[in-house]
Amino acid sequence: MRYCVPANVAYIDGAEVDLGQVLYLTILPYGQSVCLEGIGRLIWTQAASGDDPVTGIASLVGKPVDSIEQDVADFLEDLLRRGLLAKS
Amino acid sequence: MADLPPIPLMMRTRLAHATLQAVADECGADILHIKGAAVDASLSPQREGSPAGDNVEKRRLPRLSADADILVRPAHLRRLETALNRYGWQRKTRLYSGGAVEHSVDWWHPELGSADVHIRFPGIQLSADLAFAEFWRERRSIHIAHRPCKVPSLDAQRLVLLLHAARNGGAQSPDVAPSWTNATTMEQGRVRELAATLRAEVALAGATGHLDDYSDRPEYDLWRLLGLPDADVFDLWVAMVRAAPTTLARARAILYAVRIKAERVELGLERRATTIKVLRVQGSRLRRAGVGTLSVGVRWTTRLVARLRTRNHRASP
Repeated sequence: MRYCVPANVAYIDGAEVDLGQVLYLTILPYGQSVCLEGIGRLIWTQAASGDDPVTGIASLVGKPVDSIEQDVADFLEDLLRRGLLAKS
Repeated sequence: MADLPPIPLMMRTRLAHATLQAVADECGADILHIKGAAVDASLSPQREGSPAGDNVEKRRLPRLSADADILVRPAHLRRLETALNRYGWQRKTRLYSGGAVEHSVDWWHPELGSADVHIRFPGIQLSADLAFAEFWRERRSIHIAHRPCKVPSLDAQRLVLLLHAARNGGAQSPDVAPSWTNATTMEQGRVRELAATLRAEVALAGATGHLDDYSDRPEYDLWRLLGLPDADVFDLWVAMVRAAPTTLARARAILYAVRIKAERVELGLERRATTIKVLRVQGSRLRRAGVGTLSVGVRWTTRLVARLRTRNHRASP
């Protein structure tokens, strides 16, 4: 499954402004925001880039795909439900 | 997913810019993002000791701004305000002068913090509608928080930074070097041309150190005083009245001094002000104005007496 950033989501990663590894996502136009850190930030970033997030995360954390697949899929489902990611 | 901690200011203002653009798009209001994150990388202070191969964007020091500033087409202000209310923003002030003309309204979002909605920019004497149209004609699009936002042209960005600098330290302001001193002669010429179109030459001169070239202009005193770190509030008000370009603007400048500004008292207190507190602050302002008026009266009377004495002295055999 491939993902993309919905047109109504603004985001900024701390690394862009020298503020560390934290990601803020804001749903437009209401402006409600969500903070992602750690593995959650990595999953969203990987998915938003258009790459396959499961393979990417497995490679980043050095674990077999099978061992993380379900957890990543659950988290991605949550992101989709909250409108923070879209299917492409 | 973590509970939302307070969003760091530098990130919050960027998300606020993107949100304001979405609100404007939704209600069909024309807005331009100015200052802070909306400023072109080439006009930002640069990191010292960056690797030689880094481009301007990489060498740029992120701008820290207390709020997200936008300029709205004056005819679209009402529809924007209605939409801002609908999407959870609260208006904190009425049109505010900040020592110059009334130009902006503060808004607040519980998660994204402050936004400053300008209808005009201090220093520009052309009408707010025509000035916005001039900025809008040469607009461009940039990404803030990864969303497209409209900003003025690079020349107009230089001018806005310089007009802001003229009220905040004048030629000593840190924005003057990247916007003016380091600009080419051609770039400076284009900024001067734009300032002439917008009738902002005097304020521009306040930032570039050429204010005395305009000592015969009604706005001269205002920009001289705004460039001082400790200008007297009453002197500023007199200069603001004198600089007003129209009779209506002059009347509004006069009334501004005596109007009760409860929201300003509340911003200072960071909570809702009581009626007694508002009246006390207002009383103190009016007392200062009274002392100022008295001192101007004394100055004028002293000058008049001195003139009459000189005339009598000359007339006597």
